[in-house]
Amino acid sequence: MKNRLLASLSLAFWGAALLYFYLSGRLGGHRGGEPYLVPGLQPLVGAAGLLLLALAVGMFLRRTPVILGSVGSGGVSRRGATAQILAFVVLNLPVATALCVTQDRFGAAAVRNRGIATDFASLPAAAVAGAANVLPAAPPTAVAPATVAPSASSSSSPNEPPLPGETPAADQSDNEVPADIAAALPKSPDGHLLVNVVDLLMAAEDDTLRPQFDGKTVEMIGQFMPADDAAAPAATTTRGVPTANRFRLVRMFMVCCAADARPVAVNVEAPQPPKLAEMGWTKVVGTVAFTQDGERHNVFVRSQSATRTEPPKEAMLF
Amino acid sequence: MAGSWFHFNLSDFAFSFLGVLFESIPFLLLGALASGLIEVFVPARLMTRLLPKNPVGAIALSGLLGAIFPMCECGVVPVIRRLMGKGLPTACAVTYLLAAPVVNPIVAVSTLAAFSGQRPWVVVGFRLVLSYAVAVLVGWLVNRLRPEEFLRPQVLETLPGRAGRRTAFRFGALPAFAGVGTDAGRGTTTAAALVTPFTGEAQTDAATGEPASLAELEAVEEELRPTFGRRLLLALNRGAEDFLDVAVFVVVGAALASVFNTAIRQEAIQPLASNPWAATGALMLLAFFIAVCSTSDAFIAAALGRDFKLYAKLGFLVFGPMFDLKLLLLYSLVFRRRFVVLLGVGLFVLIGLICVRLSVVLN
Repeated sequence: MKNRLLASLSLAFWGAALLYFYLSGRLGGHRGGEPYLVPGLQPLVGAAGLLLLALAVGMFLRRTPVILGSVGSGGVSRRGATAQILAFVVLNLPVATALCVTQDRFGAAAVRNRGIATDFASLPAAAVAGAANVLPAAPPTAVAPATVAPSASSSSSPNEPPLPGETPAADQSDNEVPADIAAALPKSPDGHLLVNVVDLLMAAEDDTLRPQFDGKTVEMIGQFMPADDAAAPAATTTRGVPTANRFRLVRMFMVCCAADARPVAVNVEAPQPPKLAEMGWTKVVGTVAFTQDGERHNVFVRSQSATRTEPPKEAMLF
Repeated sequence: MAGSWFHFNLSDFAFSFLGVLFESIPFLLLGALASGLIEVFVPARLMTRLLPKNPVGAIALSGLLGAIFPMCECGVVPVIRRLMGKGLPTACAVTYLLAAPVVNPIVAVSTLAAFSGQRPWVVVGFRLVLSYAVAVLVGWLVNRLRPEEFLRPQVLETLPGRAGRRTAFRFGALPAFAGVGTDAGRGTTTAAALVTPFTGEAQTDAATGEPASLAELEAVEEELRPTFGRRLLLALNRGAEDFLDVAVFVVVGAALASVFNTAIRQEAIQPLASNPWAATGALMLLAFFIAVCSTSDAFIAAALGRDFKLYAKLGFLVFGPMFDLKLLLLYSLVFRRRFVVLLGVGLFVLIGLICVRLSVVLN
């Protein structure tokens, strides 16, 4: 009885946890945090939660006992009660602890430890193409003018460029870069080009996009991280600008789950040291500029303003 | 903190840990339920009928089964456990175990997408071929071993035709009709015990204590065949038990991987990129510690930047799905500890050597 109870409790706990995260929206980052999984995988978690709950009920109602933590092919285990209780603890305690302490986001330390990508070559091109607002990676294709109104499900933050899928699909047969990128991109109410971090990194690598972005006033959001010389060499922005006046605007780029999320960032230089909270959501308005370091082109933004803003609807880029 | 290579934050760890679990649980459950269905519905002789009699041919075919029955590395362990109980030769099981998480269409497509602009077809080709070759080689080597040398006793006892300290009519060897965890084994080291499902009533046949052959198993299965509904319930229960068995190890593996993912500065390995041996070894170790699944590891490998060349990234892509922190623990469900360690070291050395040799073409 006890063993069957432990097993069904474990299944029920896991099932309830999965279902709670899915139904509450925490799994997708819809409660102010970051998503744990890409949208395509989230329903699987909900389904798994339901199934685990059903299995818990079935396990509890069966009349034959269960050996929890049996190792092998499901045969009778030699494990005693102590080993089974230990298996129960290992199965549930770490998960319960994590559920209690998680803040549904990565902090600055984790972001730094993962290594911040500041050049497009560090990103998987095909996956980035979906996250970019501008153009697919290679070959460049035209972006239709933003004449179609954003859908009702577009991001809640007016500062966030429309998510992929909310702007008309690019004409895949047209490999021409638009003559005027300013006409192709969405704009803020103030007339600034709405871009995200990936757009600028992509532009830095592209000979035709670079001159089109150079000197343009853009608006983008990301999480604020102070610069340090090791991570953001002075050569990547204007020479002579003090470190205190430089920072990074970071977005997390996820492929499957939070564990593989990688930070991407654009360097920003401000006229004065910004007074912003680390990892706080920040809106930057500024002009795009490029530097060259050997064969590598770096992009940065000379900010006119950097202000605190609300998190976007989708905290991570997919 | 800027110079420190280790900084642990519980909240960051929890976020990564739960991310890994949320991603892996559905596939783990799928694999466990598949193993339960195999246990109950797959006839005992099917494996021996499907595979060529020639061991070399059987092992070679097993390496390609992932193309038809793809399975992620978490889910494949409970599946092969059951398949061996159904008569799949152990060498074939090991080959399938190593190959299935990589040699399948899903991983091929994700690798193509991840390496777009970085010679994707070259990477996919080398990844699939190298993974297949390594899996088949390991299977061929395992074929030269006796199962007692590398299988855990509990798994060994379930193999058809095996004699263990316990009766061969263990629940794995008599898949469809035995309840789990009954008293059948207690004190009855030679008697065969058949247990009616869901009632716990033990039926003791006129046991001879001799190991059961596949033919005997099939005969008993046919005689005691319950309704489809009861068999399905049994399959689901078996799947649930397999899930719990495996989940313990996934939790530990995910926790260790999340510590590495969040607390250790990964830029520390960048200086190793210039040396082929160091670069390949470092990326293979990275694959071991971060323990991401084979459908997403290609994106991480592709994002490792220009400093690491393709041959080093290939090591990451081939070694990781075959042996990482989670798998180290999952394999111990089936294999003896010594074999698991030797397997890990052997794969590391073999794949590392091949990848460094490939540096002349994959630069």
